[in-house]
Amino acid sequence: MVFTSLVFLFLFLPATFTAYFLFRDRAMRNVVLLIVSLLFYSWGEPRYVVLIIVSIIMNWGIALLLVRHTNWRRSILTIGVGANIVGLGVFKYTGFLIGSLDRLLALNLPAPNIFLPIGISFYTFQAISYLVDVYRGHVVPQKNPLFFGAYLALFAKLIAGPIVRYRQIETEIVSRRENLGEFVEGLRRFALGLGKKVLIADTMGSIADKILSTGPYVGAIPAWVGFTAYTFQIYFDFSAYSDMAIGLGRMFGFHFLENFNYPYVARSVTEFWRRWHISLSSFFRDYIYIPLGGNRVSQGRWVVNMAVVWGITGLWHGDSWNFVLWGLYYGLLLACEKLFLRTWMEKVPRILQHTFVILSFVFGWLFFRIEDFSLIGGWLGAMVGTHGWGHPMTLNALNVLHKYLWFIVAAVGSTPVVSNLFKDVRKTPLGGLLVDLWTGAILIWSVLEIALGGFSPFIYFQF
Amino acid sequence: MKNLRTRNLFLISLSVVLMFTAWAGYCRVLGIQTHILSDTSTDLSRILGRTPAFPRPTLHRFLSGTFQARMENAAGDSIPFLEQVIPFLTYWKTLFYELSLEVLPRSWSPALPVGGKDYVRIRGKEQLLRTPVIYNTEIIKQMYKAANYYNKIATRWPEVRFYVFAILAKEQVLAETRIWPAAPTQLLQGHKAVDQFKALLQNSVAYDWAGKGRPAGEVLAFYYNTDHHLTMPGAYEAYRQLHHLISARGIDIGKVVQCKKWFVVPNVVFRGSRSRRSGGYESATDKLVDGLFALPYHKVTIHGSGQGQARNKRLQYEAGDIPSGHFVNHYGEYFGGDHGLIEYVVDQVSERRNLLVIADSFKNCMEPLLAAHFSHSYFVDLRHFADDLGYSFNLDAFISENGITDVLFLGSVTTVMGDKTGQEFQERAD
Repeated sequence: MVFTSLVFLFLFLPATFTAYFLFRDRAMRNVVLLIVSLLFYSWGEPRYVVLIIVSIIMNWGIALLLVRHTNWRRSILTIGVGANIVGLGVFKYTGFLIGSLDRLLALNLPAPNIFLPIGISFYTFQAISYLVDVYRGHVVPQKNPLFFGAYLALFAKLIAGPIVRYRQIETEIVSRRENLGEFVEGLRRFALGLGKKVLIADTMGSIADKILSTGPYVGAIPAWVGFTAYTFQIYFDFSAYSDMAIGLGRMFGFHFLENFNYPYVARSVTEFWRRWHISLSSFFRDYIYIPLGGNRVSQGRWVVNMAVVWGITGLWHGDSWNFVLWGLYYGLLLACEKLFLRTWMEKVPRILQHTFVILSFVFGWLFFRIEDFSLIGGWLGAMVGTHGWGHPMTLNALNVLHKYLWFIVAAVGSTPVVSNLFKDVRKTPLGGLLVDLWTGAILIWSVLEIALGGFSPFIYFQF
Repeated sequence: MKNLRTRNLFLISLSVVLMFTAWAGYCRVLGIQTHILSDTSTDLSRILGRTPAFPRPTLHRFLSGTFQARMENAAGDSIPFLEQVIPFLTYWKTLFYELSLEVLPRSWSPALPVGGKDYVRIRGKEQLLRTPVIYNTEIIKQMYKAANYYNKIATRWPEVRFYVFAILAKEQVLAETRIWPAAPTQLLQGHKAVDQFKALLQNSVAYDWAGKGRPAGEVLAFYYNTDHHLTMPGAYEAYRQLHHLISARGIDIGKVVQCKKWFVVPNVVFRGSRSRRSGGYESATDKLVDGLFALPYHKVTIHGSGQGQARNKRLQYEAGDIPSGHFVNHYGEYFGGDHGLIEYVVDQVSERRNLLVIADSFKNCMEPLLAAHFSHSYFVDLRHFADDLGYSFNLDAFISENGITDVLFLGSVTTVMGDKTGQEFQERAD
């Protein structure tokens, strides 16, 4: 089920609120959350609900074993983390491995009939973070499997993040406060996310799809418009989901950490990754990069660490080599920044710093979007004008030109300008009312667009 | 604090209203009468082509995912404000987009041509153009459906000859021949799609498209500069192709009607459909050219509501009685407008065959040429048939009642390859 479906908005959500607030008891409320989360998950692929139940039971049990058998902690952790990784590997990467081997060795292997369970990358990483945190003594393992289940399967962040670590909501699982103020703040955040997804991300998506589905034969202008649209789409799509997840969490009394902090205003690639998908980058930092030695190792080892971390980051996003290329591309940029680029860039005007970083995003998303390696070169060529500049009429022919004002909306929306403005305006009663009217209008408009439009899943569902 | 509470209540109330509206919609699908909201009184099942209803929940359905899929469908069908909202939202969105395009150079915008200086210069010549149709997956699916329909009727009527003849829009020709400015290669799929259509048709259905195999420059001359139709010389070339298509099936329909001379209809300044739609493009004009053809004697009857009208006004124009007005549709006036059913009767034919032409306005100027080879020719325009005749067109009944020996589907690519007209055919065939 997706947040932008009518079933979710008008059947699932009201029913969930009713069932949830019917009970006063915390335990019962957690049980309600677990049940509706499993129902939410089973909506798309009922068979795979078994996987998440197995994951809940397994990780709950392993965490308890970790504290009970201290002599075997390391082995138990290895088994626990290994089991999670094997599960992820089997369901996500079997096809990729077999396909790659087949291409490399021409073995003519049959393609495995394994479908990717939605959100497996997210809940597996949450489970791993839980086990490691228990092992490190950062959290006390949850003794109640239903409570742990409510954490791991919580529908608000189940299928596209953010990757919420147990320690972030450890207290709230057992004692949290739901109240009207929190509920409405959550509703506001949810409405904002809905608008970002339905109005901006989907519009940008339609532009990107129309241009990029033509193949790399367009002129430079359409190619840049296409990838710029995709650059905005992926940000608004994913950050919208995070907004909705954070908003939903808040309605139920949870406070998830922010997952995005206006990444496109970054002045360096390093800063970008501090602002983009924060829960994932901090996961990789805390559970892979630092255990590997981080940057407190020899330069050669550090380069290897970077390659490993960014290769895995890429692969986490999808079972295709273009994602690995995308990850390594960022690894290379970050390494260059650390070694010399940052020093150079600090000497140039800020506008040039921004320009460089924005260009690096756009090229980065090219590797991300174009899965077919043979087309990547073609698109790079198109962007530098191998087919000429292209006439704006081509955009017209592709029926995207009339949406150009959305680029301005998206560009402004990618900066904290509107958010800061709203913060100031809300300080006055009238301003507050206006902001709420605006939120209400966004909510109605988004619902109408959903009712009129078709199904548009979130990009990050596939990861 | 009070303000905070008021604002909170506002958002909560709004959410409740939205949810209530949705629930009312669901009740409507469930058959529970809801009088609180305005009902569209529209038959949902007729619009949707399926009965909107919530599925019965069973474990098997749930596990197989069909319950969920049907629930999504039912929820989508259940918003009671949907139909009223569509025109409202579409209107404002269109207005917004149109206004935003006003800021851009006119030559970029999709409603080309849109103003005084808006033209595209191709090979040194001003051209008024619209954007070409892009052959995307959806259109290709429609083509498969259309081809399936033609094959089906050809199988049902083995004794009748079937022909399909497509006319590309000028922009499609341009895109295909890489003349369209900055056209990406994908736009050239028009050519491939049009050609691929042949492969989808069984041998008993003859198929061709206007200008095929001819140099692009020549084919461009088939069209008016300011109108989407073929000029008379262009239509004549298309007719010659059609004559070849029919003759190649071993049918003796006589020789091609010869054109004794071409002449420009005097005192006519033609600003065609593209000029009219442009909102006043004036600098580009066309000449109305006609031919003097060696046609056999023929009788023309317009059936239905157009009965008694003159099919064309050549004599009227010749007499100098020319409709005035800046944007007069001289194509429609001179060659005759669109009617549901027009019948031509010709006695001097080499073989007594009856032709049914199902076509759009592209046929208007070539009617007498095609009719010259058949004893009875019926030209049907499905867009007008039911209105003009008072009953719906039925292909099977028409063939059997009028002894039709040859059926020609003629028109723009989008018509003959599966737009609404093609869909209507298919529905009747099913």
